[in-house]
Amino acid sequence: MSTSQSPIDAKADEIDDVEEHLTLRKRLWGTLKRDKKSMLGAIVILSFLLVAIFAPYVAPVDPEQEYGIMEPPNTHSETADGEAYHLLGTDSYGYDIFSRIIFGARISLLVALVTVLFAFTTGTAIGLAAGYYGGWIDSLLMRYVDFQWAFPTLILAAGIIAVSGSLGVINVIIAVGVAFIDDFARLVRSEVLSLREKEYVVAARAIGMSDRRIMIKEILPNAVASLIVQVTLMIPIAILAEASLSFLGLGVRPTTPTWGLMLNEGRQFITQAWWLSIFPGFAIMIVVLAFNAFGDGLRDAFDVKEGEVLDR
Amino acid sequence: MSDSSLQSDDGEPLLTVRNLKKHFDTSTGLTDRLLGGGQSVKAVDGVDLTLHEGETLAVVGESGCGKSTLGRAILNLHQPTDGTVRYGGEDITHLSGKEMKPYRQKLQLIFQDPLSSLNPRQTVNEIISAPMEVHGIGDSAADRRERVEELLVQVGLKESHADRYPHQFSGGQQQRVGIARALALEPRVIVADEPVSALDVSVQAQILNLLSELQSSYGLSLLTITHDLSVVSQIADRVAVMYLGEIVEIGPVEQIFERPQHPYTRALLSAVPRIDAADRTDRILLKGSVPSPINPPSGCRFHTRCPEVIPSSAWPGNQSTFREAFRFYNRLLHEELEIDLVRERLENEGRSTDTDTVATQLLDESFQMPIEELPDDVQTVMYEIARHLIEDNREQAIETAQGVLDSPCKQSKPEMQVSGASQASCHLLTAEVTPTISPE
Repeated sequence: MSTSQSPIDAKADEIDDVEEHLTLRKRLWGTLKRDKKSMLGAIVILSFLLVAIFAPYVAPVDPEQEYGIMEPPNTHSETADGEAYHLLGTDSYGYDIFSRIIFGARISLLVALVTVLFAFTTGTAIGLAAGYYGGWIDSLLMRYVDFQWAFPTLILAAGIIAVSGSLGVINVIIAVGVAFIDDFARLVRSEVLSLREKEYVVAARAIGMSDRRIMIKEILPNAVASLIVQVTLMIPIAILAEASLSFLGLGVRPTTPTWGLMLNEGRQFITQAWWLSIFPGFAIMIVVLAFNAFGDGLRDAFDVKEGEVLDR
Repeated sequence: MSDSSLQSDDGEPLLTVRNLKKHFDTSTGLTDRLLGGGQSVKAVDGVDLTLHEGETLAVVGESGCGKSTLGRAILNLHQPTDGTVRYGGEDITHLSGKEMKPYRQKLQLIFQDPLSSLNPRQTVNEIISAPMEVHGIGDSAADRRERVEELLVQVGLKESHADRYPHQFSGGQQQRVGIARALALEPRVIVADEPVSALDVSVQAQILNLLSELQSSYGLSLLTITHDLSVVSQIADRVAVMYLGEIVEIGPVEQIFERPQHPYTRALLSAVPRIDAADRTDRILLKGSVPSPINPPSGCRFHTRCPEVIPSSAWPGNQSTFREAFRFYNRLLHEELEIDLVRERLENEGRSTDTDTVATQLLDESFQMPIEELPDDVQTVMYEIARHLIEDNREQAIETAQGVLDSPCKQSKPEMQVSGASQASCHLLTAEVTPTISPE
């Protein structure tokens, strides 16, 4: 068969100096190495994740253990089995704030990740179907999304919690998750609208590929870059949403250690004991900033244009 | 492929296209549809074609004439508006996705832009084995991989290329991958949509040779869509010339290249670049732009640009003067005559803008020859038309023009006329009208 091998092609083979194919992972790693800000963000996120996972080992004391109330930072309490050190002080119930922030990371990150995962899955499915099929399916799905988009996220979430009638982690996840569906649906739909006109999609149809396979194997992988960026930008928003709901008293049950709840409880004593609300606030701020820095880095790495993902 | 006569007797042709139409609706929503604001683009408007076992048929035409749409409508990638496509005697025109699947295996497509037709996130192995997976060919991934490597070698690539991504190849190599994908299902018919127009000239010939080679080894029938007549002469057995959604001439390549029947074909052929300047003397330049397929010209669609348009029976002069006047008439019909501009120009030059001056100026600008060369009574008519127009009486102007300028080409659609093995649709070919003047 060497007859049809052209001299040009043959030459290219001899040199074998082909442009390296950069997988998503390689591009990501390259960006992290170049961009110190996103590297810092990644490190902070990673350490918060580790702390959350190993909370019982990392926390100096049990978060449910009561000590003297509103002890300032950097103090000690006498207990039956020795001395307890309060790096960030204790709150109005006498709980150790540092330990509660560590355990709060569990709830906050879990809620944020599961929320975004839920919104991602549902929103992507809606966006794929709407963008790919078009017509009345598109109209129906997107009118729903518009309807939801017109509602402020928090009010919608509060409404969903009110309807569901009880507080708890699951309800917060569903409420915030539903409220985020529209962001993913819109992003995916707009990606699909441009991708479905690509010739490789026509080629896939010419092969006789089923619609489902075209959507999942041909279109979605090409939208994955902007989706990943969107996920990293949505996680901090989810953290803030959970904190806000907790702050409003609509989040998890009052005794659960979460950053939002701690912030709320400290609010009334802000003049006497600033550390009650300042430290949980810092925790929220650091994580949100870290995710944003990381997300910005990803956006550069995947060459996603700024307007393509929805900044809020 | 010596026997390529249209009504061939060697059984049912592999692919038969009858009166195929594809109109695109330009209305965008419900309101448009209710208010009737949408128009339809008649991209393909009544095309008849046959493709026989093992032959190569080329469809040529200017960009925008609907040839790519034709290819996709044949493959049922665009749902045809009307007409039928039969594959081996079976009607495949309105089959659903599922019903179409067995035929997809037999009918494949090669694209113009090789890079955009390959998914950037998939390796060559994934791209070429996908059709086999979809149709359940091969027992395992390893099986299919073996076949992929075989196909790569057949199209002139290496086995090791299977793990590369599309952007790691040159344009010609990418097109080879596209061809390998089309071959993976061992189809009977391949529609090649401008297979080489995106490639370097040096690579074009290689790809065309590869296609002919594969055609003979697989016994393929090729439907090549192209705007490039050199591609036609290189690979095609028969050629169909398309203009504004219609086939105007179809027949064996040698016959059409040597004795084109349709004026449009003649114009196309005269535009082929030649190295020897002496060969170029008969270049026919088409005037005017391609009319919109939303509202195509009546009668013969080529009449607005045809250099050989037939004079109306009322025309006293010769064909070349008629052609000029007819062009003026068409511009009048398409509202391309800008009276206000003429008036403004006269004003700027400080000349009078009374009806007569504007009329003279308009006629001067619209005709490429001195208006005095027209027969006297025609001149009078032209002035009358111009005056009606200036007095904002467009309908009257058109009515007056109709009297002397309605060419038979505009009035009725020409039928396909058989001449030897080829067919063309032109009024010049029918007996009643004598082909008078060829362009100077």
